Amino acid sequence: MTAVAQAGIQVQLLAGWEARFQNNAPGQSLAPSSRSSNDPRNASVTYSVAHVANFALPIQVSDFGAGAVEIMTSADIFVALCEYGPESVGTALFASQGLPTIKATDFGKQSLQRVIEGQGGCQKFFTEKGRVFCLYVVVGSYLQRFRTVPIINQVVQAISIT
Amino acid sequence: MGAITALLAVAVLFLGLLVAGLLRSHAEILRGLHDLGVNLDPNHDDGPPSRHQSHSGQPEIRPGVPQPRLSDTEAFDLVGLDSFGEVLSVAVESTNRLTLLAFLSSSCLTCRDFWKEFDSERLDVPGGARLVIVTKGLEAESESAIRNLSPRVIQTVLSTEAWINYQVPVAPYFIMVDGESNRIVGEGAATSWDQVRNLMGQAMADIGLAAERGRKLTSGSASQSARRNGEARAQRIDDELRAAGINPGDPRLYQQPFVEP
Repeated sequence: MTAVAQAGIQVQLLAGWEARFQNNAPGQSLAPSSRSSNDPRNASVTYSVAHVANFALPIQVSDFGAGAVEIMTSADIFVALCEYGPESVGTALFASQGLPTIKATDFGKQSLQRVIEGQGGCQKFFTEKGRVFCLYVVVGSYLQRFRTVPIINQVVQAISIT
Repeated sequence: MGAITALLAVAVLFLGLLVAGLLRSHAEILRGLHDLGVNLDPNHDDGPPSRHQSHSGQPEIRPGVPQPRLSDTEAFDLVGLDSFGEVLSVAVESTNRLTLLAFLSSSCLTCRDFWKEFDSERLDVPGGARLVIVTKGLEAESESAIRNLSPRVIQTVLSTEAWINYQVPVAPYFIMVDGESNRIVGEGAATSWDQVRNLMGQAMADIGLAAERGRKLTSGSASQSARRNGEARAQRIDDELRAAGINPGDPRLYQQPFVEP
């Protein structure tokens, strides 16, 4: 099993999955910002971002998957773990403690940063080890979410944050 | 008179130094050629090139031609850094697609052409395979040089581990992996993208593999044609060998050919 880690986030990858990290913390990243200017989350800076997918991630992917979700097939799954800054610690939005467990009912066709026919999305905000995150998941097929949710939970359970 | 003699003496001394320098330069060139395996001695007999075999039975490679990998390897996922120093992994094994790994360096002159070629958005990759550039890690490469060379649409991974895992002998070197069977489909060194395309296209044809957009075709006319060509080609070769009196197990089948540069 391949493991990758950056900035205190470790991901044990399932076979056929890949991951990519990005550090958006001010003064930390050399990469040009790939986040869309109309991304509503631009209001708050994301720090570490981890993308995990069971398909070939394109080179340019925004924090919440723009650039990747457009090429997803029905069997594909995209997971984004986006960290928010210390100013968000202790706020009501991130009150949930620990990495979440995803349920099929968490998915919605409109819960997507970018609505694409056939896809479903869900997002969970939580705090882990004093750091605050949004877990955002896109499934290529909303109809098949009952089959893909166990795999998604395997992926999430293989994430560890220190 | 004395002045002319002194002038001549200086001129002779200068010419002597010039000749000595030229002889030394010549000797260094000869030594360098000798180290590369080139012997310019007219009495030295290289033997007929078409039957050039070492004592070990392995084919000898002419100077300038990259050595092949020592042995075939499995497929491995890539783990390393991107050109901005961020950690990433690229799935190669256990995928349902073809991946073409281009092992390049920022310093080799031949690689420069590939870096430029890969910046084209209309790059024609054999079988539509996913093309990934792999350079050695930061201990052997300049991060800023890689960042300047990296194409906008093709992932570059800095990973010495990948070079070790795949036992890459030289840059540029190309390895096509079938992620479904975790097998190396084709590999080799090349000096131009056309050569790579021919090499990989031929390798895919040899095993009867058809692919589009990186996915193996399992049905349809292209898939059937590829399978038939692969099988038919193997059958034709078997028939021709039998007609020439070469049957399975014939020692002539195991003689290594001489590799021309």
